[in-house]
Amino acid sequence: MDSHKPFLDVSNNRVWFNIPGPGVWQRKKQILKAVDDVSFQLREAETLGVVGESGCGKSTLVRGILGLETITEGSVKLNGEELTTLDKNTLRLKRRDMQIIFQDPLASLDPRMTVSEIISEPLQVFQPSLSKEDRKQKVQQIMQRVGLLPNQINRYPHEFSGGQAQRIGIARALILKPKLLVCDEPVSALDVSIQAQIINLLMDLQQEMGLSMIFIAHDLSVVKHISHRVMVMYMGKVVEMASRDELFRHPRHPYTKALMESIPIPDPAIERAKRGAPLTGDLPSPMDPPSGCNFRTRCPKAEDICAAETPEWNEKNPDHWVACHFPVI
Amino acid sequence: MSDPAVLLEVEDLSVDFELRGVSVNAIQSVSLKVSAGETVGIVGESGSGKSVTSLAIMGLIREPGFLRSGAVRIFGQDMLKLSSRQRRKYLGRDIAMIFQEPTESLNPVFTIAQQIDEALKRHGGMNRTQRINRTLELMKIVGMPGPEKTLRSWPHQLSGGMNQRVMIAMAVACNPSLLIADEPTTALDVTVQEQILHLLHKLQQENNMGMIFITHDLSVVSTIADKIIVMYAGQVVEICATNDLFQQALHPYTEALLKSLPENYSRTNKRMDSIKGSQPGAGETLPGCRFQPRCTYARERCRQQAPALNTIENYSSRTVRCFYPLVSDNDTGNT
Repeated sequence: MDSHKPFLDVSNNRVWFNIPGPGVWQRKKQILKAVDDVSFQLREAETLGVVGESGCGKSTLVRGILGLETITEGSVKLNGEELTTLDKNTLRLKRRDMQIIFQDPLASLDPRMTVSEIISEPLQVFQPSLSKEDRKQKVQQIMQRVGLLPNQINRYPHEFSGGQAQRIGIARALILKPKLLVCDEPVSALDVSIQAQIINLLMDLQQEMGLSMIFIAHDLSVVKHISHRVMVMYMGKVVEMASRDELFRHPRHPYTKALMESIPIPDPAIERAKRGAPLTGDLPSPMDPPSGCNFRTRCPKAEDICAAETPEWNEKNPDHWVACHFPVI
Repeated sequence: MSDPAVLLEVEDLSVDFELRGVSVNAIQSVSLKVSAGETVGIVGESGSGKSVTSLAIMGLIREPGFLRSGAVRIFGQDMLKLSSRQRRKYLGRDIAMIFQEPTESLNPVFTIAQQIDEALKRHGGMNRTQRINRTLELMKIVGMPGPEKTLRSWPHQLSGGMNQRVMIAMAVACNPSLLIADEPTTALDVTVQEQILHLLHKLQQENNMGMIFITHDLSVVSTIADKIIVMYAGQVVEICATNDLFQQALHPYTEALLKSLPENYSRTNKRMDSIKGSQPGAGETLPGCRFQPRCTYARERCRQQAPALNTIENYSSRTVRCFYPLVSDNDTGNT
């Protein structure tokens, strides 16, 4: 993996939202730090898994990278080119290299457009000179590739099941042959048997097209299967990042450890043995994050220093980064 | 009626939905039993009829759905023969339900205290002070952080996990004998899911409650259920003890489900075994077995005849709906 050059370089990325405070007359602005100082690199043809609980900023992070959310601070470089300073129109042209598929496949498709209209829309935007026949041919090709039948071309989204609708979303994203594909919880709305079909499809397509992928999921077992490297987020910050095998074998951050222990294992013997919730409490309010380390309120290892100082982002092992005062050795 | 330990007995329950003048079968002759202190997990994909089963047990099937046949006996009393007024005496007191979307299931215009109080008012026969005390006690039972403050809050102020704790508090307020949990952790994060599963298990142990746990997630059900019922396209296809299921699936669908769990592929770059195709849609009827078009073992007979639920003697009397269950021929003992 090391020979690959960084394809996407995100550094010190911050996405902050201004939230009107309580009260009517003296509204004090509050700041919600949805993404706070996140840096990572994505290599070519690599899949980076992003995991974390809901509200940890995983989706905001990728939306910021794609320019769907305004970045407060930081830089995003795609193939060495800075994206944050581009004007709207140039950025729009850049988007043909970066596509996204969403969590709820049916909600992300326009109900009044046919499958062929949905899939060919990116072509109309980015390759308007393409003749009608060529466009149709391209749509048919990609439909076949993602496992849709040719006779479904004139149907509407509501005629499809969730798995099929997700295939339409994938076809729409890939018709421009992008270099970066962001998958925002693409399988969490699907049944297990369908989930496996979609994951297989994504893995095949990645190999064929040499795609770089960012794969967001709250389901660790899916991430474990598909990713080369994994990044764990908690309250807008990255707490740990390492190669998949390293991370799952030796989680260093207490939060990663707890997250892994909470995955139910499909084996009753193991499950019965562990009985005992590893993490207590909910996520603290992101408007009022704890001082020092964000995780200290739920952390079993927290000490005084965790409240006083924010832990530094350190490389504990080669290519294994952790932000914790007391990482597991 | 017969066995006093049996809380709930569902027999031959069938529910149809009438769509554009055609009746579509949602569940077909579902039978199950739940005893005190037992957790029965119902597993299946969306559209397999798990939720319809639970709604039918509660008598909550609404138009255009209707009950075609069957009996739901709670303590031997057939619920489906009661008027809705009579039934309401049982609901909430003897049998309670929690749903998938905790935040949507709570009423947004009442505080948590008011909503829990309503359940107690209806069944408890307590005075105001007793009810207030009980509400607070319930908050502590479900492990709510800052119980007094939470009681004064509105549902939108609480997280999904906390709202689910409130739902559980309401459900167990009158110490029901049977709790139906319909995908109670699906909308929650893994760490909170673990907490809720733990809480449900604890409450069940303490009150010797019977529980039906509905989920699409085999790994979740393995943590909590004693017995698992696998449903496919409105039918029960396999019933067995949890341990047996994870050791060997007898129905091809169950086997395929187990194979499509990503957990089983951890750290391998192997392709996952997926089940080809998808479930038959509502109204699609097949002459033979409902799983046959997706089944890798299907033979001619499967395409022509519909299999019935059969008990397999050598395999701890497990029940399977398949002509060719996945038993090895030389296997004689229990698995």
